Amino acid sequence: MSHFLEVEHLKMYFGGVKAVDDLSFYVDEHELLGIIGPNGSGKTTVFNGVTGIYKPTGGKVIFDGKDITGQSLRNMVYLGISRTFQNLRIFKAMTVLDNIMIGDTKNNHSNLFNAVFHTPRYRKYEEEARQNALEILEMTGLTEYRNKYVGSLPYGMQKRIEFARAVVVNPKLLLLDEPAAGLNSKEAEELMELIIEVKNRKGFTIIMIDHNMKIMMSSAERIVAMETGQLLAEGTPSEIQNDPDVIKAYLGEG
Amino acid sequence: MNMKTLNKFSLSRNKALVAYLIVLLLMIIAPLVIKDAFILRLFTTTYIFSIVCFGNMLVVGYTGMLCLGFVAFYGIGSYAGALAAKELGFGFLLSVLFAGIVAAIVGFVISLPCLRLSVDFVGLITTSFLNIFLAIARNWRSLTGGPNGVTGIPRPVIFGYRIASVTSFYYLMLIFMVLSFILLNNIIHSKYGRMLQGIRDNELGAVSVGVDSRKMKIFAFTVGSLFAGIAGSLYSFYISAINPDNFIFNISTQIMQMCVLGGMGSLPGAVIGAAFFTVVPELYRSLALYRIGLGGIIMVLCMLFRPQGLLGSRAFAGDKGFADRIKRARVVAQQKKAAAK
Ligand SMILES: Nc1ncnc2c1ncn2[C@@H]1O[C@H](COP(=O)(O)OP(=O)(O)O)[C@@H](O)[C@H]1O
Ligand SMILES: [Mg+2]
Repeated sequence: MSHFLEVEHLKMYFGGVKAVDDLSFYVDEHELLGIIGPNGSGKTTVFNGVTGIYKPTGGKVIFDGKDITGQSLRNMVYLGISRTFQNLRIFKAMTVLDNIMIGDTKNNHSNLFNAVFHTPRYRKYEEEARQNALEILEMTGLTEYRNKYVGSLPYGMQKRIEFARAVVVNPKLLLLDEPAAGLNSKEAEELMELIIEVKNRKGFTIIMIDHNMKIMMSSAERIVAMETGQLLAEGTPSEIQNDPDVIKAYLGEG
Repeated sequence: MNMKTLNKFSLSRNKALVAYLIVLLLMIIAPLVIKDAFILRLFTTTYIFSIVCFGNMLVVGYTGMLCLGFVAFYGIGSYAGALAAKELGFGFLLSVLFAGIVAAIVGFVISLPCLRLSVDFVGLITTSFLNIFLAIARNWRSLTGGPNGVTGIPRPVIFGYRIASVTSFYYLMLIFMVLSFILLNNIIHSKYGRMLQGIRDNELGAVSVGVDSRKMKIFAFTVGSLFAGIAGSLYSFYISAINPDNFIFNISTQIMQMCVLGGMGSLPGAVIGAAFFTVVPELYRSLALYRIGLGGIIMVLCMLFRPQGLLGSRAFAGDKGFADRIKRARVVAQQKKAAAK
């Protein structure tokens, strides 16, 4: 009992499709948990259920001792959870700096009056937000691109920007949906190093979905393997690697 | 490191500020140089339309809600301001404020059904709303004067100073335009502006970092309508007689065209678009008849060669422009050639 995040008997049904079916797992504080599974096995849907994009058909999500089942996506940042998306959801016609500063909205308390008249109070909050964003940009190696429009940057950079946006929220729990997908192996490696570094510096707890077994094996502390919406196996990377079910269902494929 | 960052940042902002001040200066001295009343009137109209375009820009260009019937809020402001001055005896400034608030309230109400709809349905709802507004304006004769509209709207009087000459109207509208620009520019460069643009670019992404997209959409619609209403009442006072034909769908299209040409997501672009579509058709009188056709051609050219408009951000266009495709095709061809060698 009383892990940092507990997902209990989560069910996510879409009509007849049982995308997630009675899945339970947990994460402890400061842990990096990996979720693996073939395409369509329900990994993303787990994130969508936990972060309130879809209401779970059944089951519970307990975060930091609180039942947060079915809370809205918007509330997640206030609870201390932020996430990235498998299909990038960044702001392409905005600068990198603005993309990151949006992530800081919940800490920026200037009200409309201050904003409309650019009062000293507004400037103070704005400067704080900018410094905060610049710090994250520095940490994620994006400083020199801060004034570039995100849409004009390469895909690998965009992935990094979405990660940085999730970091500036300063969550307790960070959910990363295939952060390395679509990157070449060098980019993927660099991004993973960055994720681990940021995690250690900020003391985040992370759940990460990825296809890449190599990446998972080297970075995750524990792994949950899924198949057709259900738990296939759970354990340390080496346990998972040697699990006969996993080998059959996942590793055996490719 | 951080110092350098900041310096660079303030430099680009200062550059923009210098550009704005130069343009403002030119606008201020224009009546001293240009003695042609006809041209000054065109500029005056440009300033009024700029304010409507600012409102439209906030809703469409910054928040990404396709409001096709935006002229309705301008019309509501026109009628509200005109009737407040004529029937209720309100002073000029109070009438303008009243017009803005009435339009804002209506904008607020119209935004509610738009919240959960996709872009195209927002377009449909706002177009239907324009038709409802026009039907009311044409048929509620006791209030709106029906097809004849409201005439004999009194000249503005501000602090005892009566605005009647071409030049005084020019400066009056310039002041309103500049004030509107400053206020909206401030909003856009604050966290509110970031939230709106976030919703425009990727609503789910914005919500995932805590943006209240419903609240912000209502906000954009309400504030956009507020400025449309203010512009509408200024128009009433300027031409002193309005009728429903001033607010038909064509005008709405034109407002949209001004924003597209100037560049979605750019306030200075709104002024340039407004100036172009106000001045050019009038200077070449024969073109005025084809105003909408001219707009259509320019829209097509924009789509092909510069989807982001004159001043809109490059990234806004994505890579959908015709010119972009040609460029990409060239790069690909070159790569192929290089590979073949
Ligand atoms: N909103 C939805 N409506 C219907 N079916 C969905 C929806 N979201 C996911 N699914 C289905 O759930 C299954 C799991 O999808 P997903 O969680 O995206 O898999 P993964 O991320 O593991 O590749 C798929 O069969 C998918 O079609
Ligand atoms: Mg997925």
